[in-house]
Amino acid sequence: MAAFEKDPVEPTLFRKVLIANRGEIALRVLRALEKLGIASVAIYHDSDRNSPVVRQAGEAVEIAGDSPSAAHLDIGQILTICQRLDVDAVHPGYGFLSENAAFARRLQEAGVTFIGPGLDAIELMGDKIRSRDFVAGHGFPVPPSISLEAGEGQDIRPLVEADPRMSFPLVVKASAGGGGKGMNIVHSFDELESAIRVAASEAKKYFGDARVYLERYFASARHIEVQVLGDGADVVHLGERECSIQRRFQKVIEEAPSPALDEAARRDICEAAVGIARAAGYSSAGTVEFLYTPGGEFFFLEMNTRIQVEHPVTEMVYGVDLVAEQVRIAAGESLGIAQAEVSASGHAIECRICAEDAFNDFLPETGRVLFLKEPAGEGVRFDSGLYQGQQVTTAFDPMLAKLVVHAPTREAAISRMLTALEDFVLLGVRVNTEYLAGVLRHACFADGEFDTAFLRNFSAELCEASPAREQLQAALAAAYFSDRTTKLLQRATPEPYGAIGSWRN
Amino acid sequence: MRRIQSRINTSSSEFQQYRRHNRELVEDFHRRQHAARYTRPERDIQRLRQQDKLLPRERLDLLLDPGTPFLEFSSLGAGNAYDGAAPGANCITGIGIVGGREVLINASDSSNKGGAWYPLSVKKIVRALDIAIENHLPVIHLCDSAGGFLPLQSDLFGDRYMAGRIFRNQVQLSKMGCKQLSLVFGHCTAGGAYTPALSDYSVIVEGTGAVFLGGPPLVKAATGEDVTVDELGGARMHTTISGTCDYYANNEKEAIAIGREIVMQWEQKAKYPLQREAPEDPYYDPSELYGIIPDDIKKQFDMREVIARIVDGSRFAEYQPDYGETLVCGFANIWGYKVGILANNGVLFNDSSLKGAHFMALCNQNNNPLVFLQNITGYMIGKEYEQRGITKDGAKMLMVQGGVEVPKFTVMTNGSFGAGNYGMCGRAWDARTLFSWPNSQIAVMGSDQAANTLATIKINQLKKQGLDPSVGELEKIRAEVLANYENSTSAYATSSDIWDDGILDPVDTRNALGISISASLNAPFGGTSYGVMRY
Amino acid sequence: MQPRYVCDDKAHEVTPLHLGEATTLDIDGHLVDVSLRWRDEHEGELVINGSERRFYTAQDGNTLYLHLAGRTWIFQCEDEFAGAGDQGSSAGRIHAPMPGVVVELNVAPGDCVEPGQGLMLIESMKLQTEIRASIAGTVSAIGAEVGESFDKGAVLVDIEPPASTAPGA
Repeated sequence: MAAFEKDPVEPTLFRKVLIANRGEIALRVLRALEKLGIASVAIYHDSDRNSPVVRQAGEAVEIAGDSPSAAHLDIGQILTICQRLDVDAVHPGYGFLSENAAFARRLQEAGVTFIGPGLDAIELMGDKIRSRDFVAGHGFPVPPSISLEAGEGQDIRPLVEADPRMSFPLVVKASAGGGGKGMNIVHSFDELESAIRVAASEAKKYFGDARVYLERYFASARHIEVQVLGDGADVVHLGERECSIQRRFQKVIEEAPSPALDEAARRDICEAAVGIARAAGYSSAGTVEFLYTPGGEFFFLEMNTRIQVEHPVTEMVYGVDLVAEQVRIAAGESLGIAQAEVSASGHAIECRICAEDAFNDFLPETGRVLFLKEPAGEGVRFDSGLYQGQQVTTAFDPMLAKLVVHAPTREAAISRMLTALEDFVLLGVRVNTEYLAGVLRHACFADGEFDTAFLRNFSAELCEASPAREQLQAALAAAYFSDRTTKLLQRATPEPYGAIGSWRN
Repeated sequence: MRRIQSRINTSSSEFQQYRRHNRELVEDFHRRQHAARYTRPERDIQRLRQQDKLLPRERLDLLLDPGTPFLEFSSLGAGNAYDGAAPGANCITGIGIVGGREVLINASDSSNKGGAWYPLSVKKIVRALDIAIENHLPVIHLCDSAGGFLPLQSDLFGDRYMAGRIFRNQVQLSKMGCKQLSLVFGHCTAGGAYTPALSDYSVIVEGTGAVFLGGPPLVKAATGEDVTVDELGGARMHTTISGTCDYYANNEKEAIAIGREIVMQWEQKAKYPLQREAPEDPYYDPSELYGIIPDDIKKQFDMREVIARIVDGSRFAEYQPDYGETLVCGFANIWGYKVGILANNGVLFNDSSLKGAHFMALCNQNNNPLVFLQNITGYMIGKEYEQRGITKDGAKMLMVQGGVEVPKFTVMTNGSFGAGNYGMCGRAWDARTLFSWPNSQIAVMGSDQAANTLATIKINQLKKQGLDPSVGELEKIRAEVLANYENSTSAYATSSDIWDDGILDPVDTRNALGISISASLNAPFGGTSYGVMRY
Repeated sequence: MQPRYVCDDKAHEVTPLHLGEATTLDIDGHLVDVSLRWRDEHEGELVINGSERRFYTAQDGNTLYLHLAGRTWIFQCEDEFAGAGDQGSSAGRIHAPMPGVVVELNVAPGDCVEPGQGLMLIESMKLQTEIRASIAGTVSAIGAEVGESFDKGAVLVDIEPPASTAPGA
């Protein structure tokens, strides 16, 4: 861990960094910039004007757009701000423009550093078909798959039948996709053609690129990803993260290390990740995602060329500040650390706190944050952009915050997380904390015996427990006392009427 | 303050015997009260239900705040009148809490005879509004009355304290700044129409609520005009055209909700800051009162035992404990409020009368409300006492009692006979509230004395007619006279005539007094300046 | 008045036997001794049947949020007016505030409307007024068409509330 502890102030890195994001990751980036002594600029849509990052950043500039998301995707506006405020680097966070090659190119042209990997890596890894071919070409395992050109759907059957490894179920994926969008699982030829059509049309709609490919779908595989850090010359890995707890291809709970890997498997998969990144000449923090089958096979899925949502679990286990590392590497510093110097300690778990009714098909929830009490304590980290009075709308992603814990063992980490989830109070918007606690308490989770189908397979068990009568009574009693009307009547009623109570003569 | 040391042995056979006796009396009282409140012909209930109307007590439950009391007045008013045709005098009155405000409630009992006003209904309503006036309480009228009961109109209409007095009192309340709200659930016809009209706020229910001086039949008869109830005085008409009512409600629940919202806007004025401590339950169990009150009105008991079961912590700072011992005087707290208590421990003699006069003057100067616990056979009579000026000393007591400015409260715990009733703040002496225990009697003289007097007169008449009744016949005459007399002096008879504000289960006395005292503090008092005379 | 709290479509009745922060509550027919201490406006400690529980609370309109023992509860507090309109059918009946003429009609019978939705524009004394829906529901009748005049108090639009919204008494 000591390997990452460098001098706190390195004034030469950048003059001023613009944070091209919002919410918890914007605040996370701000913290890293503060630590590095770099001036910061936040950009925000009007709906976020009261958010912590806006109040705490050195400068804050409003951006406009048809929707809040459109504002954050408006490259022109961001470039103008960079020039106007003499910004020399941009941190894109995740989502929005973080893997947008056009954005990186425009910044490069304007002489502003994009804090992330080089343009080539972004472009390569942003194209799922190209990246898969690239990885396979370097001798790393990729899932059996067939690339399709648009309109090729009708001729697909013989291609599938010709490849003995392409057995159902299969999944149709968008080449430019990610985050579960444009993905469709098919179980037979009957469904295949329409699935391809739908996926292509979705891909066109979301990513402007209709290219899709067909891949063998491993119904009971795990999602394991490896954190890498590269400086263009060297690459180290910071172990793997287990991200199998997903619903609709969206990660819900992540942890490090994975309970599924033994030392040999861990070494193999991490070395594969380092090999892939090194082949790509990778320079920045990145994540190589793998499918891990019950048989112990692993296949390359994709590489994410940005900071990941779940990066804190790695940070807590390795004692590293990945965002600060990104900034240093982008400023041209070398890694300055060898794989042998990197060591892991303990176990970390992250829960994504989302505004949703997890017990009701994960329907998004909206509302105003009326009261907030963040969990705290030893080994507890809360990455959040939440603030009291915040209006949670459907304009942005439902993920509001990340709760991360670190403990010597997995068992201790689970128990610490359960305590932290209970301590976390957010009133005014329904969030998924009770659902998360239900997952953590599940015997299969405790045993580490799960795959990406876990939440779907156990959905019947992961339903809202009806409260014990005593619990309900306590809640109703508290509700009665908390009710504004009760307080008003208690205050107004003269004595001794209240003390005499509901007496009749 | 020292705690009263009770000398009652709760395991004595006497205690057990009294307790049995009084429990029977109290059970009988509760039975009568329950019947007066709830026993109604099924068709009357059905009629209200068909009109989508709530029962009067359902309205009250919706109106009153949860977790707060309702001190009901004269629940057995008219109980012995009209052959029981008007239980509770066809109306419900009392003090309760609505939206945190102390209010007086005057509700028609439409579950009986359409809530028609009998003579005693009028008396009960006038009395309730008097209580509002005396205590500066806002009033909520729940209007649903068929109007004056015509066959008895001559007993309820034209005199000073009859129906007109209701509206006169409403005007007085308004003049004093006491808010009034009318919830019009049913018809307010003729005089009744003035109740909402004289209120500061009114809410009227669509369909069933109506306000007019003359209903459609009367209009037809008088002018030949054909008009519907809605056109003449319905909710929409009055809230949009005439402006007689302020708020339109779709149904009774909504009317009550609107009413509660109105009341919650009312200013809460500061009450008189009466000396007060944290309330404390009596040390001695109030239910022991049942074993203290004897089974015979002639048997004496120590009123300190009663005080000990009413006041906070059973603590009592007795005044002049060794002088004028037949009148127990002293200070105590009831629901925290510091009060002066006067309680009879026997007939009033010269010294006890002077003691009472002195003590009341003291309390008045010290701004202590007075609580009278009556068990009085009267002032002592006879040559010796007349020569010592018993009439003069009694007059002193009356003069001081009638002259004090502090609020007074009276409880008839047993007997209330002769001028003792006056000296101890009987009905005529403006107690803010006056309650009776079920065993109590009020009369010009005790029943034995009166029966003997009446029997003697009757026997003398027989003798004048030349008859010579036997000993058995004499006894029979005496017994009949006694029974009639006792019947007319019983708490049920006097409460039926609204000589009090209702009969109380003795264990409820403390709460009834607590609410009465609290309510009285809405009206200002104090500031009197004089030297206290040691009589 | 009956305090009532609705959670997961179930209504619960809580009746205090006294006011104050130590009392007995009748909760759905069961008597429970409770006492309460507020630490601040959002945080309280509740002692119920002898065991102490900390809770956090916040209210937005009639929605009460409560966090107690790791569980977040969302209660609808039935206020003074809840259920008041469930008997009468005229809560959605909109009367003309003044005599006038309809200049614009935006709904037709059968349309679903939301509270506050503009239904028609009326003109009176050269002043135009928008008539808005008082409740959510379905338009059951239109009292006057475009160009038609009406008297003060006339029914302009009648809205039928959805059948299921009436809470049980």
